[in-house]
Amino acid sequence: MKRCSYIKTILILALIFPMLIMSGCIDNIEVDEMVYVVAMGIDEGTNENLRITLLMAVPIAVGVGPEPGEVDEATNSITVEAPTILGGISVVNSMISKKVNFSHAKLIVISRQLAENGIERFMNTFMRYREFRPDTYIGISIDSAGEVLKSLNPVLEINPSKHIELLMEAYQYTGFSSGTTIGEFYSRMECTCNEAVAILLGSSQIENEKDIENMFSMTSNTGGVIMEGDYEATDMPVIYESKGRQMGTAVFIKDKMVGELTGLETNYYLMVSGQIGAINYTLPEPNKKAYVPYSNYVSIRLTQARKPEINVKIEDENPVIRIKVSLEGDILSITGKEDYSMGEKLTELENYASDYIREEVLSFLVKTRDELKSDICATGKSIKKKFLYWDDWVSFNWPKRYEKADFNVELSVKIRRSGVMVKNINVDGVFGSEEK
Amino acid sequence: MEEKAKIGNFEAFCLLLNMVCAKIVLDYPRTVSEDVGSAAWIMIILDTIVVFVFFAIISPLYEKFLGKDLIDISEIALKKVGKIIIGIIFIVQFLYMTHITLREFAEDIKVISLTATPISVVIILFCIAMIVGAYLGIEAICRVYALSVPILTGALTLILMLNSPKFDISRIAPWFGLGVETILKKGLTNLSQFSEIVVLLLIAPFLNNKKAFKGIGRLGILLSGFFLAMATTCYLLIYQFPTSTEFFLPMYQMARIISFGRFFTRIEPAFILIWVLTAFLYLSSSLYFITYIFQRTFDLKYRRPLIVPFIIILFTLSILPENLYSTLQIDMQIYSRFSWIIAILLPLILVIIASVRSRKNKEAGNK
Repeated sequence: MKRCSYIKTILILALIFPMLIMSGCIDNIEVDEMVYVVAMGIDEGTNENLRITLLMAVPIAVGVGPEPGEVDEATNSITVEAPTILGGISVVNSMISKKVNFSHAKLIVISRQLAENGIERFMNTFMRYREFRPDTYIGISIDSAGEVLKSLNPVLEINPSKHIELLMEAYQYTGFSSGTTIGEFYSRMECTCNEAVAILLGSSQIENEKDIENMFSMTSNTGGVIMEGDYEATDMPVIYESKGRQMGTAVFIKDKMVGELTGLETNYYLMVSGQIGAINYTLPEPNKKAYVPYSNYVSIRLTQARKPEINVKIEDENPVIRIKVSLEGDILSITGKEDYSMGEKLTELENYASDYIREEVLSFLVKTRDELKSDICATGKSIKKKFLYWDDWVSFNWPKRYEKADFNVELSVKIRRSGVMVKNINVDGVFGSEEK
Repeated sequence: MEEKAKIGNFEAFCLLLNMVCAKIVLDYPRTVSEDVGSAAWIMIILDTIVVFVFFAIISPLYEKFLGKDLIDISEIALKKVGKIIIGIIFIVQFLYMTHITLREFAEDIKVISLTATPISVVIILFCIAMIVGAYLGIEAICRVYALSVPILTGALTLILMLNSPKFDISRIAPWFGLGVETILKKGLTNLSQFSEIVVLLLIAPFLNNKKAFKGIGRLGILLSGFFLAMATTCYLLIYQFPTSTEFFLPMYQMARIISFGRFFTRIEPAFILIWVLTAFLYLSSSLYFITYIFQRTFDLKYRRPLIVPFIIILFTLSILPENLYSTLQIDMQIYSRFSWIIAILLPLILVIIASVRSRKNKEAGNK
């Protein structure tokens, strides 16, 4: 009996011993011995090296407890050249007092130059190295990735990590970017039925009103009017202290970037792929042309009523893609004198909005087919479900078939609400028109 | 003292469920998708049906030997020498199965958590828990099972359900994956994934209600098949073939991508505890069975003195594979192909032979 209790004591001690040694043993991590990377930029360096820029958080500057920090000091950047990402990180580790850690990284930016040559080699690092998380956003910079990171300085938010996270999540209520994460990109890159996209980023050169005037003077084809979002990240008519911009989408075939979508086209991408949040969408008043100066507009908050239905049929060896998009919206503002809040006018607005957006969606899809040759809307998923065997599906070669696809788009917009006004009495109606 | 051990029905069921399903938290969803592509779930369902049929054949035959374990049955079937040979075969089978699993669990922990700790230290930590479990015996282990398995099952279901917003049905198309022929061929070797059901024939004498053996086995097989199929299907609904063949730890990967808003993210550290608990239970019971079979095979009076020698053997075997890839190869190329012959086919043959022998003996006795 004594022997038994002696053994039990040893067993209990054997269980307690690991608890003591493992809590502060080989794998211990002191938070203040780490430097947390908020964002990383990758550019092409000299002699085929990578130029890696790290945007690092400075926790003391962010603020401790209730004490406010200093926005300007909240981040620090460092640039290094090395043949590989982790090689570059080792160089950085050798010269700063803390160890670089990516477990809180929010954004990876890769330059367009590198993206056009393929980014599979980087994706492997991001997916294999456990510090990179699958929910980190991935963006492609039109110009230098390093410059984009440096220009993404927070202005309204003191925490740089939260600043970038909120910025990347803004697509849910703007629809101007795709909100792509590393995990999604990787999955789509390796998929046989769709292609990958990434967020399009850039740094703005616009400093004042004169720069905006110059920018518009160069867009003579639209008569000087640009619909909201109808531009890419570097050419936005915005004057703002923070020069980092996100607008549009980088389009890929496998791991190579093949083109871009504007912010407005990204709206249509999100509509067709069923990822649209609640966006503000402006369209010219019914029966008025877009891009006409001093035209009247109707602004609608658009959301997805139902998941888009995509059906693919093969007719004469070519796919016919039928897409049904159901949207619903609230009227936010009407700049003209017509009231579209009720009755026949409401139906007119619904029909007009349906036709207008349908045409835009169709021209976006044609662009993905003819110019980009990339099925970013994942229409291939529909036909993949009709196959029984993997080999048959692979030899069907969907990406090549997509280039010959015909589109049949049905789009409906239903206006559910008209804001806090049920009707609009214009000023002429109150005082009587001068003609009377 | 141990011979008096009593196991309740629920405890036995939990033991069976954890022993078969522990591989879900290892690499099971990946290996099956590597075998048959997007149709892995079909193969698992077929395997479950086949194992269920095997059990349906074996259980009525075994009813004649209630209160006897597999070693007793092998003695009835093949006499004393046969018993020793069969015992050694099962000891080797369990040693093989346990050392791979020990190494794989240790590698998991090293990859996802204790990255700088030497693998031998991680294995030693598991060994300590195994010694404690095996020392306390099957009754204690089964009681911990009864407490832990509902939590583990809930946690696994939670991981799968929290991933549901990311499910996409097109990812498990084409429906027959790499082909019907491949499903059938690979399905046969994948019967090995149910090898652990053999423990039911080892714990049978300890069951409180010995007649419940049949029910425990049936429910255990069906629910194990259900969880194996569910975990694999959910994994494939998120990572389509061939991406599904890339990740070392499918469940960890699924836990990593769970996010609800900005607040409910990074929940995988909580699941590490669950995985470790699964590992401790699986490995402790495996070590117990190794020592139990050895004791019964060689008619030894005591079992506990065998624990330390066997843990040393297991530790040594587990650090033999040169790297993680070698461990996975040993598992996939050898164990997964042939284990079912020993764990499923051999007990069936033994029970049939023992039934025939005992009937002949009875007839001879009557004459």
